[in-house]
Amino acid sequence: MSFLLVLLALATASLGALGGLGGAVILVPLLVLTGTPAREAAPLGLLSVASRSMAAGPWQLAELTVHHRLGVTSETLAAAGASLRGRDEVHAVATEEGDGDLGEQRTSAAALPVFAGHGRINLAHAGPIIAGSLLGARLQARLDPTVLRRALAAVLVVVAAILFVQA
Amino acid sequence: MTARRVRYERIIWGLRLATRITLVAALAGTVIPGDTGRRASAAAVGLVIAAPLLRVSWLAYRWWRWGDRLFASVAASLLAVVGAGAAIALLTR
Repeated sequence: MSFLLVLLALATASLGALGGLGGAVILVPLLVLTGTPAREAAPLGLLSVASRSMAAGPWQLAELTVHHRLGVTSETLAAAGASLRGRDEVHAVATEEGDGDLGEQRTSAAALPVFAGHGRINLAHAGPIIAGSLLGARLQARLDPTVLRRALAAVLVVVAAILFVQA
Repeated sequence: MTARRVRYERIIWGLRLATRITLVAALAGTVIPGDTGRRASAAAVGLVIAAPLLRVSWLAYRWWRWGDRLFASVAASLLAVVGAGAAIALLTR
């Protein structure tokens, strides 16, 4: 299972990063399909996104593509929303009304402490997901963007087809 | 190398170091079974959560030191929101 999680995180981090979606969009449905409860899959998806952001941070700073004042200002309101949404989602999953939502990349830093506070981060799965995402971020920087975009489109079509059939 | 790039050198170094330590901890959590592996995974999760918060703390400190009180306050507000969210989650666990 750990090896499968590393592979899933590696593939989704390297594909999702380039597509601008955040790997969680692909990772969370795949985790659910491979038997991970939705309650655990959402925090793992956020961990993947946060790990990839962590790996990309030094490059973005070196290339001077980060506007810190703009980022911190918009993040403050986004963090408030993410904290509230994290709490709402916990309630929705607990009452079996929801299936685990995804956080956006920018709100992962705010939502993860909420999930950690609720004890929703499965540590047995967290290690492989973080390792795969960090390695995926490195891999993504070395691959051909055109090939990655085509691969991402193919993966999204397959995920959509599987979810459609399962629904 | 531009002045702005030079200003970021220390945080770039810090983030690269944190990323490497996180990768090692996460890999250890993947391959080591039992409590040791679980602790390594917990360390990796802690680093992933702490890294952006430490970065914002560093920005808040720097802006405050340079006299940019407005954005220092905004950064402090961000940390307060995240802290409040985590505290409420712990209390309502």
